[in-house]
Amino acid sequence: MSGHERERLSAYLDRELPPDERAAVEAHLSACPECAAFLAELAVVDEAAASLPAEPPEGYFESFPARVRSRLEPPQAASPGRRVPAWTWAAAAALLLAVVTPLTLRQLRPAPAEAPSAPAALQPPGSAPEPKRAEEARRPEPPSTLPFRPVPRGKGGPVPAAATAPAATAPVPPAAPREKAEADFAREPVPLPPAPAQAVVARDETAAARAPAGNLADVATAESAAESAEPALSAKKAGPVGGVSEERPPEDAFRRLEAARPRSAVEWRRLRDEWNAFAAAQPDRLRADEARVRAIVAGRVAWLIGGDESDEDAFRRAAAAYLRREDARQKPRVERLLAEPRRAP
Amino acid sequence: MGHSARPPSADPGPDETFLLARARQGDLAAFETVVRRYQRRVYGVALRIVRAHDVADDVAQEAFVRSWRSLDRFELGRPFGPWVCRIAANLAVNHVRSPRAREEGLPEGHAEMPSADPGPLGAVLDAEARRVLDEAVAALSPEQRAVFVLRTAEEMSYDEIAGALGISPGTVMSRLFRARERLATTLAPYLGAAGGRRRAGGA
Repeated sequence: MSGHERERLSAYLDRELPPDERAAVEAHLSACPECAAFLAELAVVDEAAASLPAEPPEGYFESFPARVRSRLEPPQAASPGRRVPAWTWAAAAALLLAVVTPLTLRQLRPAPAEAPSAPAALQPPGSAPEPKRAEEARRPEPPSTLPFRPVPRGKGGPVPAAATAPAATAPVPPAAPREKAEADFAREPVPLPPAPAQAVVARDETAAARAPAGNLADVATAESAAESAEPALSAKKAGPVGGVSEERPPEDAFRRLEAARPRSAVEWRRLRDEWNAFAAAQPDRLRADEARVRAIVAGRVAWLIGGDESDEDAFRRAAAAYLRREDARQKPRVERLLAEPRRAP
Repeated sequence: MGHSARPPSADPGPDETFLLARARQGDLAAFETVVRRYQRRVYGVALRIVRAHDVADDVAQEAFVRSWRSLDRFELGRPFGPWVCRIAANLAVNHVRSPRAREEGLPEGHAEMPSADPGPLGAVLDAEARRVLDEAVAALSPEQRAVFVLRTAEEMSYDEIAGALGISPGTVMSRLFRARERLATTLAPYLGAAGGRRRAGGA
């Protein structure tokens, strides 16, 4: 029995032979016990190999689909009740604003009476979201713009409803129980402000929009990081993206912009442009500098959320332009932004 | 590996086509349903080729992620299972062929896996024979193992395997034969007349 003939037996076993060859093999098998035995061996080997255990640890397949999904999830596609790792960026961005704002304002406006740290300026959390926006926030983005964010193995499961103590009465440090957002945000080493209640500036309406009013405890950590009371600034009625109105004093425009709560890459882009416009029109160099950095931050978030390459280009160009400025006062901060790991391609 | 409820080349059915069409629009929930449906197959292919759970997990996840990203190129109406298994098989072979994997070495057996019940072959192959067979499978070249796995576990046709691995059907046939021959030779002392009798009487 030649090797070639044996090979034909293997193909015969798989029913891969053309009819005439098949008939020839069958004729031979009926007359040749040796070949018949070999064919039987091949079949047993197949079956035995297929019966070798190929089972993962118990429970593996229960979480597998969710783990795949979390790698595909765009930042705004999470649905309520589900863990929402993709929120990290929005929450981190909000937290960034939260932490930076008080510092900035303190620098910019030495008069303590004006500082937004007055606890009296707080209002309870959970202002009712607009339903339409909630709908928008849930809509997944097309695959081409999806971020690629591998999720560590074994990590997952619903994040415990965080201690969403009303910030109005519990001025906890901004990053206290907020592991997820904190983890990502930790790379932004902005010193924490001494008056932690100010963190509430970062209330993320996008997060809140997906939770029914009064049921915010159900929202996972990343959202709760952003969820909180906000100061009753004039900005609170200023729509998702604060517009710079020329009728208002610049300070008011600054506050409105910093209170802006973009919900999408488009809105972050708009906020970026508005910060740039503010910077261009701002005579105060310190404020213009801060506005320029915020424009860069907003542009970066637009990129991270939307995954659009042109946003990345714009972000890098803006950051590079800033770093070239002689009057730039926050170069290390922008350099860190540039050095942040980007998503895998 | 449940390869019972799986018609390898059958029409995927309107349900799956619908789910995939939704997924193509960006519907992650629809895609998650598809993932749930094929995860065992994909993981099984990966594990049988890479032979380590952690790596198989990586490969299986990556196979689905890549299939999602390539959904635009997937021809709706065709079965999704073979397509994603093929992605997994290629990723798995590439991994085994990678310098990193060679450095780490392949696990010899399924030691890290929980022992499964003996199954229908318990009567034919005792534990020792299974261990020997397992080692023999591990000793195949990754290319041979990939062909062998896609045929025996996935029940793909030669054409499907050829398409999956980018080789000719003739190469599939010869690799498959060499793989089987090696395994049969290794296992011969344990098969004896039992296998012959079993087969001669069967279909």
